[in-house]
Amino acid sequence: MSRNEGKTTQLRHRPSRVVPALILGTLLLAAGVGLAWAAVARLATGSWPAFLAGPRDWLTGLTWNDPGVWAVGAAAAILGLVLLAAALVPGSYNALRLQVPGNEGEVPAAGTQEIVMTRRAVARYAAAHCEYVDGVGSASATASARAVHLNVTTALHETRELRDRVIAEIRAQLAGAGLNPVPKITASVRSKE
Amino acid sequence: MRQHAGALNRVCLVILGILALAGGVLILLIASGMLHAMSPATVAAESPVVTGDLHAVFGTASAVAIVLVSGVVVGALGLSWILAQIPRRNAADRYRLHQDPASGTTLCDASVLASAVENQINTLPGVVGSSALLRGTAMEPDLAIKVTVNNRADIQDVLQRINTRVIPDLSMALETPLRRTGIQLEVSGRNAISGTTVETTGTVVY
Repeated sequence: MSRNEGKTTQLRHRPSRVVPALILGTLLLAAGVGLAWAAVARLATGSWPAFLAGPRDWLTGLTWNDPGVWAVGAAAAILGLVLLAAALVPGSYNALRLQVPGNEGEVPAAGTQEIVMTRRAVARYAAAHCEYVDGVGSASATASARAVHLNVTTALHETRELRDRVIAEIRAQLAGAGLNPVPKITASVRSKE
Repeated sequence: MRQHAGALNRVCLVILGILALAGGVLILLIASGMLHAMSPATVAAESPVVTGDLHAVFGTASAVAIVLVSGVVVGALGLSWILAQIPRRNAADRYRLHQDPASGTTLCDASVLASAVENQINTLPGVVGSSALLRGTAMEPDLAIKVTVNNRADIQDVLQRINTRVIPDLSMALETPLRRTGIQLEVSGRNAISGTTVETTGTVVY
């Protein structure tokens, strides 16, 4: 299992499925250690470890239509579906693409060029610029691969006009930063009073 | 900037998922008797799962060897899969800049070039910090840069300066165009190293 076979070199990529890989890797390691230890114990003492007696006795008296076999089959099928879903459900990108005017992915001295802004960076940038809008008390933002949501608090009673202004300002800022396409922007404005 | 084992994980998960799903479906088909109904040559639902004597089967030396080898193989696969999750920089070691070793060799540590790129980027207005990584070879270098900018920085200006000054300078130093560049932007509330905008507050008196 060479490390370089499946490496991801793109800065903008989908989730790497590290958690299921770590869980399964640990289970495989534990199973391997258990098997090797049992074999070594058999060679050293002349008999298999006692913990194998239970499964062996259970298997000896088992028929295919036993409820235990049904449970094992169903569990294996469900596990298989979960693993396939974990592998095939694409997940969202970790970053958004940026474009420099006049550079459509090719720079004379730079070859193929990929410029990205992480979702966290987009959220910070949007929240920071939101706080420069007149009427905004405080702001926070969350960003996905396609949308930015702003949570704004204000001292104003009428929030509709401020929300439209904040959305327009942040859209202009993100477009000015070079995000292409510009993510969809939504805002929740909460009056402090 | 670091490389992850995304493709490897997906392939392994698909293989294990298909094996588990196929095994589970096969067990359910046998347990329900449907497999026997479709093909009478297969086992019936009422038949025992283990037909032989397990004591005798696992009493042989070859069975012990098989269990030992499979344990080592499965454990090694699991361990290597876990280790593959560690994000790797996979940076270039040293670029060989010479043409003919007989007339002398010129080696350049890629980290030295990366430091020069970082220092140059850090002088740009609005930049809080940066890290650069060179991969590939001296003839086909790849550059990955992580640039952290102040949240008030002009991002397009920073990118233009990187494309028109930093990358051409590196390309000139290596005497070859870069094969591929990647720029990852982060945003921070910290002040930029140079070109800092100073915040002022005051009271307007009428």
